[in-house]
This record gives sequence, C-alpha cells and structure tokens, in this order.
Amino acid sequence: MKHVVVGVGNPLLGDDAVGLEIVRKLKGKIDAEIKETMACGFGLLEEILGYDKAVIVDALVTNDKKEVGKVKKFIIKELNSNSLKTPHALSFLDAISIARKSGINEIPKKIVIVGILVNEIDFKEKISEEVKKAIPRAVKVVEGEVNGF
Amino acid sequence: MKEAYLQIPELRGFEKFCQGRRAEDMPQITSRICGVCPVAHHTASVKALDDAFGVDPPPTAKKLRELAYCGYMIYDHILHFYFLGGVDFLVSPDAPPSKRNIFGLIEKAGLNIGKEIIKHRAYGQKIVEIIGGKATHPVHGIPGGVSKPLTEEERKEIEKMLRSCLDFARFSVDLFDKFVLKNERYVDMIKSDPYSLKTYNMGLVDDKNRLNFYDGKIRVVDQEGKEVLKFDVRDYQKHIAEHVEEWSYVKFPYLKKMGWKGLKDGKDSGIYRVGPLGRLNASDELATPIANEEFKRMFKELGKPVNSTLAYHWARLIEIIYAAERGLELVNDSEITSKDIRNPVGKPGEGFGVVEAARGVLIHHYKVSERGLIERANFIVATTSNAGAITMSVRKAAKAMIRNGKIKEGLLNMIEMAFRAYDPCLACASHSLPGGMPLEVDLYDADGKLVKVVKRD
Repeated sequence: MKHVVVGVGNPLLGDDAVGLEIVRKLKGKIDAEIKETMACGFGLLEEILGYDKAVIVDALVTNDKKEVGKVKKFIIKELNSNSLKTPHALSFLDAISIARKSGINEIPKKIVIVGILVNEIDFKEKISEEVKKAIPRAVKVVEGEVNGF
Repeated sequence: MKEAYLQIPELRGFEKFCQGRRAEDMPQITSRICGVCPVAHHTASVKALDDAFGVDPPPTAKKLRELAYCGYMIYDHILHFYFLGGVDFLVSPDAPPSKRNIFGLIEKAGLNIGKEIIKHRAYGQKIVEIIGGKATHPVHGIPGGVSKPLTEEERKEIEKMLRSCLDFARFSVDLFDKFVLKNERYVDMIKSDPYSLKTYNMGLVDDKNRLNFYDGKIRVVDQEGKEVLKFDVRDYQKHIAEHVEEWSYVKFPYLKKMGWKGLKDGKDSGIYRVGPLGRLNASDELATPIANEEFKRMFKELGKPVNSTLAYHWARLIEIIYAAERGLELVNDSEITSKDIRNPVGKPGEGFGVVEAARGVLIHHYKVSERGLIERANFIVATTSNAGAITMSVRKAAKAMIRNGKIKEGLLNMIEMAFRAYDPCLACASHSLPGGMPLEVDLYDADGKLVKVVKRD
C-alpha cells in the first residue's frame, strides 16, 4: 500500500507553518512519501493522486482559545459538497468531489486529515509555544495512520 | 435603496513585514501574499529588483520569465472561468444554487469536460513548475535573470502542453459562444445597465499598444477608448494616488489627473478598471492571430470600450488563447534554451516592477538600502485597483434588485455575479489573509433602521 503524507502550510504565517514542521520530523521514520506544500484546492489534490492512502497535516483555525494545541483527525468520506468557499480558491473537498465526478481514478481510497488547532494566523516566522507542544503528539498520530493499517 | 458598500474588514501589515528583509528574498516572500497569484508577485518582485540593482536581464531570461507567466495565466483563468465565475453563465443563473457550479456544468456539458478542465489547468501549473523550479511558488526569478536554463527536453514538453492548451482555449470560447452569446437573454443581461460601468480602463501594453502580460508601459484609455495616459511604472506615483475610506481596509487607487470624486464612474472621476476587460479595452489589438480575431469579434459585438462588467468572462477566455499562442511563440524562439540567463547586478537603490497579474496591473516598489535590505515596500495590487469599480458594480446590482424595500429573489446571486466577474482577490487587495467569503446584505430604511438581512456563508 502506497502512502503519502503531505504537510500543508505557509512558512511566513506563524502557526500556519505547523503542518510543515510536523512532516519534517517524520522524514526517514515512516514508509511513506513525504511532501510539503502551500497549495490548496486542486494543487493539494494533485499531490495525493496515485497513492492508496493520503494523510494531510495542516493547521485548523479555532476561535476557542482553550482548544489551541489539540490534535484532531478527520476521515474524508464520499462528499456531495456544492459550495465554493472563497472567491477564487477552490476548497480541497470541492476539488476531490469534482475530480471524482469527472471520473479521475487516481484519488486515494482513504484520505485522512490531521489537524492541529491554532488560534492566530499572522505574519510571524515562529510557531507559538502552545502549538509547538502539539507537534510530538501530531507526529505520533501520523505515524499511527501510516504504520497501523 | 441609497447606497451599497463592499466592506473588507481584514487587514494585515504585509508592507511592514517586509521592512529589514534581504531584497533578494522578496520574490519568495511576496509570492506568498496569496495562494493564487504567486507567479505574478514573484515576477513583479524580481522585476523591481532588476530595477533596484540597475540590471537588465539577458533576452533569454526575460523570455523564460514570460513563458512561465503564460503557464500561470492559463491555469488561473481556466480555474476562474470553469469553477468560479463562468459557471454563472454556462449553467443558467436561474438554476438552483446546487446546480450553479462545476457539477451542474459537468451535467450539462458532459463528463469529459471535467477531465479536460483539470488536465489543462494541470498543464499550466506544470509549465510554471518546469521553468519555476517548484509548483505554485516559483523560485526561478533572481535579480538580473533566472536561475536555470531550459533544456531541449523540457522545451518539447512545454510545447506539447501549450498546443493542447490552445485547443482547449478555443474550445472554451466556442462553448461560451454556444451557451452565452447565442442566448438572447444572456446577451441582454450582459448589455444591461445594472451590469455596466463607464470607468477608465488600464492595461500594460507594448510599443504597438498591444497587451503584454510581462512588460510594457501602463496605458489608460477614456470612455471613448482614447488614450489619456501612458507611462512607465517608475512614474506611477505621479499618476496614481490612493484614497482611504473609513469603512474598509482596502485603499482605493484613482487617477490623479481626474481626481477622487467619490465612488462614481464617468469622465470626471479618477476610478479605473484593470484585469482582462480593463486591459483589452486599453489595447489596440492583440499580438497573436487567433486571440486577435476573437478580440475584434468581442469589440464588434459590444462596442469599444466595453463597459459591460460581465464581459470580463469573455475577455478572460480570449486571454487564455493569447497566453497559449504567446507561449508557443516563446517556446519556439531560437534563444529559449540558451544558457545566457543572468547579467551581473549593480549597486542597490530604488526599484519598480510591473506585470499584468491575472486580475490586473500589479506594481511592486522597493527602496533597497546600501546593505541590500528593504527599507520600504509598497504594492499596488490588481484587485485594489478594482475596489472602487467592484463597489459600484455591487451597488448597481443591488439597486436593481431592491425596490420599495422588497428584495427580489436571487438578489444575492445577482450581486455575486457582478462581483465574481472581476475574479477579485480580497487577500491581495486588503493584504489580508484568505478565508471564507461570507456575503451579507443589510437593508436599512430611510431612518437608518435595520430592516432586513440576507446572508450567505
């Protein structure tokens, strides 16, 4: 089974870089292709085509400051999302739906999103302490997803 | 209904963030202002650095930059037309919201179109990746040139992809013709007053007044299509100023010559439009044959300049043809695989760079210190230039849909159509962070009391 782990984030946007940090710690430790990207929508979809299982690691913004640093896992099931959320960036979920409907077969059978809850995304080159603490936990979750199945 | 405002309540200090940075990092930093126009920012940035360091890159370097740029235009415009704005037309605006998107289009036009759209969008990205070194955020631009030459193998690969893109671009225009231009109802809508604005139009043109995405002079034409300004980017501050309104973080650029007269169109107001429609209006012709034929056809049908906001979609499709044709010219240029790709830089100073981003004129302006650090940075971003026009378009569409305090069905969609035509990048415009695009219409009566709220998340 071919695995790909994709870290998503913008290195200039403070806590948004956490996805990238996590996958860097996994290099050489798991039997999976490891990638880093800043893309969303189709760009992100293209990174996972051709694999059996994809794990995507990204920051998730929450307004609840108490939740910051938590690690959450989602499995993407068959979607029927018809909403386009931003003026010109297609959401990743929509990209998958469109690709599926267009008969593109190389979409992984299982797509897991590992999200690290963050509160503030702003121009900083450092990840905040609270979010940094979540990195080892998130690394374990990704390892589990790749090794466990 | 008296007024409508497009409020953009997000702000970030990107211009402040750049201070003290190394100048040569700017093409990488600025390409991350926004996830959708990174190639545009990267290229404008490196051109500003060319200027700041007093160096003119060798021809091959410029051609490679422009070739990557064609790839970017192709994927960006395809994305917008098929997934965002264009579906408003291809699937009837009366169709239920659940069908007014790419799924509705696939249903209508057939399963194969989905694959073709995705394929050609990927081709555009691949062209950027081959020349730029990375997908999405290219790294090829350096002051004085580019960082790597093109191999013959890569050249052949790009050429193949461009030929397919040209076919797809022509197919897209035919689709638009079939579903939109042959439909009287749509043509009436395109020509209707609520979707019309008589602003000035601005674009980047070469010495024959033909659109060029990569370089040229900034040209402005008036409501009769006559040239009123043509200047080098170095003089932009003489001709463009920015107005600030208290209710939004977007700055409103305007032409100093006419002055800020508020959110009005017409000859006396300095508001101008950029982007596909703006720059086709500002051009006398297009430099490649097939695109030029379509250019002439649009202006024959709608007059010149075209004031119809919805014609942005048509203009965008014409530009995909131009980008593919121009790309093919460049990829077949005898110098394109040359290894002479960089000239030495001089001492740092002030620099200006301009390109046509997918959405319109983009300017980067840097003051670089003796030590090569950024002292000051200013950006005039495409959607910022259109902010005044977008606000007016939203206002006009809203006015047409609200009568005697009653909001007609489909109000939000009509407003959205006006807005979407511009392919706005609010992230760039307010230099803010991308997020959702909630849309809310608050209706106040003559006493200022909130009467009704219509929302969409």
